Amino acid sequence: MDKEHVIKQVENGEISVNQALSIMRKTTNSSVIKVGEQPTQSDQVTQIMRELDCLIGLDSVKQLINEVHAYVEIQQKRMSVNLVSEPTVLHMIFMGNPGTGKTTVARIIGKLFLAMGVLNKGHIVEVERADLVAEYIGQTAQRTREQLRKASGGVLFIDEAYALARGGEKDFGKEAIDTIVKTMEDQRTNIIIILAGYSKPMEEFLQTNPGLKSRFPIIIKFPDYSTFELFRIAEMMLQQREYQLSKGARRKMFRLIEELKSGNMENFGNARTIRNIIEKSIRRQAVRLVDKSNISRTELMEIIEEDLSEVENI
Amino acid sequence: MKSIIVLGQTNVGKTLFTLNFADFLGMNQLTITFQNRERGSYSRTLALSEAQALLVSDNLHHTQDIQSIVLSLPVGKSEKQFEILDTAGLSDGIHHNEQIRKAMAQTLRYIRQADIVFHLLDCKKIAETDILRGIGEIDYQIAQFGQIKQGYVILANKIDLPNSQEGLNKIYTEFPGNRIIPISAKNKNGFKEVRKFAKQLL
Repeated sequence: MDKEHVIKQVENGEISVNQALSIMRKTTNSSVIKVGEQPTQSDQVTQIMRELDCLIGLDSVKQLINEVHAYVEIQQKRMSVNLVSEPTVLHMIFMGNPGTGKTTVARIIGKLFLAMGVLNKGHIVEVERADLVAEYIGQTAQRTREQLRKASGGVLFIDEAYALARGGEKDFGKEAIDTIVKTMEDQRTNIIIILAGYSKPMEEFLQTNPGLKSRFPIIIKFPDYSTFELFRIAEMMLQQREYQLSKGARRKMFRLIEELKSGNMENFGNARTIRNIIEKSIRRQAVRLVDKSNISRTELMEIIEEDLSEVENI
Repeated sequence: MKSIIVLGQTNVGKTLFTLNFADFLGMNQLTITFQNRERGSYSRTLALSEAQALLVSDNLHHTQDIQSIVLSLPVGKSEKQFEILDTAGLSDGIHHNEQIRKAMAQTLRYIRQADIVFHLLDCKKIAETDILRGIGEIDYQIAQFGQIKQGYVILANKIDLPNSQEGLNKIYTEFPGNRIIPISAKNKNGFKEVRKFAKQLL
């Protein structure tokens, strides 16, 4: 959209300053991204980058993905004109509390590298310790290889990766790590492995396995969302489900988030907790309305303050 | 010539900051260029006290034209000239008054061109009202916009007032990872640091 047109709309009171700013920011961003040989591929990439950009918060994550994207693109370009290009090792480590967007970003990464031609499927296989480690000797390598085969062409997302090192030297978890590392060396392309988990145990895990850090060169930290970001996430989730908060409920929701954030962070699941709250409030609203006759459209959409009482005890 | 744009909600102290910052940099007389929507641009040279009396007010939405002042800073052995743009305050939503909407639109026009964003926040207001009104959605958007600029800094204003510390803490938690300088536009506290920040980027 033309910038002057957007500003005229503000003058005429057709859109808010907020809407105008967000349109202006997006159009500024997209001009930075557009590069690429075939128009179809770059269109796809632009769209995926926009999808990433639409995630609330996560500014540092977005920036890093942007960097990785630019780096891969330039390496591909260099290769096309026969310049020395660095081998693109794209295995990553994601650190952050639950509900900070790790899986969501992993999905986008799969799609992004599919569009860029780094991966040929771009799907994501989510596993944890139990999916990789077996009970008897010799079976772990087999099981791990099976998962790696399934993820080939896409992303293998290992959640709570530090659990693999939990049992010490004799534990089969180590065998799983060794199998993964070996595969990474044999099959250098067409798979991206992401080790994910809470920041602190992840740091310790990397320290006890110093070889891993160089094999997973991209480390992305997912910060906790701020109060306002969580509030916007709540609003967005409701919007997607075609619900909205009443004025009183807006205040209540904000207070609720503030309380949750200032409380015990250990049990607070960031965006995941917000989703639970919203789902619960939607059920509450249904119970409140079910016996009523003549329900208006607004009533069907609106979550009021009452629907949000005691939803935090989930 | 690089330009710095001063942004923020209405009545956060943008004009007072701009004038006092000019004074701090040793300008005795200010040549202010007003970009008026109807009359076009015109300049006026004023003494600082005159400018303050004329341009600074407690009323909301007092500034409605973009007011730009050319300033200079010693960088190395030479002087670097730059432009500082004082703007009409932005607010969330759609304002009912057309004049004010037009003034805000004018601010939006200049946001794109500016190289550096000075984003003012009112510590006292943030401390005393609930966070939704003290920090507007607009402020988060300005912060996001700032990320794509050459320079972006939050000036947490009104630290001379009581209760402001609490507001300052909220700003630190709500805008992590950004440069935040506590200032008092009135008493010129924190201006040294602002000057240092500007110097690095000019």
